[in-house]
Amino acid sequence: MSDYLDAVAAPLKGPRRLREDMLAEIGDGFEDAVAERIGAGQSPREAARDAAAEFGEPRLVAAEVQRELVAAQAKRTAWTLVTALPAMTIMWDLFSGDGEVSLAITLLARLTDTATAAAFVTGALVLTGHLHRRAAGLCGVLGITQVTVALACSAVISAIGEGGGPVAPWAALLGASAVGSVVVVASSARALAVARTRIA
Amino acid sequence: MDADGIHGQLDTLILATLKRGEAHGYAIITALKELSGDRLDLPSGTVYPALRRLERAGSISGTWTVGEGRRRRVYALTEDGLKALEKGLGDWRSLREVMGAVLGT
Repeated sequence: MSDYLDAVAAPLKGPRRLREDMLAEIGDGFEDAVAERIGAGQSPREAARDAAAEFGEPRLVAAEVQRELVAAQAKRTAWTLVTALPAMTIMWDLFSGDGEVSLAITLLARLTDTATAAAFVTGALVLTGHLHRRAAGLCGVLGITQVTVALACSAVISAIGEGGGPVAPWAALLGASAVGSVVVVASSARALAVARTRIA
Repeated sequence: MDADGIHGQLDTLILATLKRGEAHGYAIITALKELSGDRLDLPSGTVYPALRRLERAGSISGTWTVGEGRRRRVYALTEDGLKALEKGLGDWRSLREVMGAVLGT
């Protein structure tokens, strides 16, 4: 019995809890199928073999399970995008200075805002059920793109060396941003890895 | 009828089975076999992800229960599931009419 379940489990990638939950359920059903056959007079070996045939090719079942894992991961990453990105944006707006800045810095800030908005909207579309196809991959790509753009623009702004002048503790702001960025990148990378899992 | 033959209809079949009452995965598989007179040649393992897909769509609800010393996930049809079942039945009737008209049966 565990051989069949192991074969189904082997190629799966995605949220651990859901994966284990689904495998437990399939294992439960498989156990029923084996018990039914043993009750009908088959040997345990024959029963396991026939139950495996009834349940179908492990890779076929795994491919269907993987679709659910991809959908679940997409939702998780979407939640990360719609919560972490606005929080980070509000934090920077609250604690950054409000003095006059050059056009270059304004453009860089707008570029960051655009990347943030794209990732946020994608996350919101996934959570509201308006985006299904390639949802995990899109969330992953846009999450990583947002962090990359935000870091690059921040680096350029720092290099230019102007701005309104921070009025809040920089260390706390940078620390919180770093944590937020790591959370977004980690979740986005997981979404990309899960979305790229192909079970043929 | 094999899995290709019922492509797109599995969800409706599962919902119809659950209309008879809540059930766990293997009971649903057994009911599908019995109700089809053993003519449904479906890889049973694919029913479990289909159940999760239906649950995600809000058509059914699933809860883990413990009975006779075993943990089982039991599913029940929701209001949305009942509507989805009615739509599935309507789609099936339309398809049957179209096929019948084209094939001349």
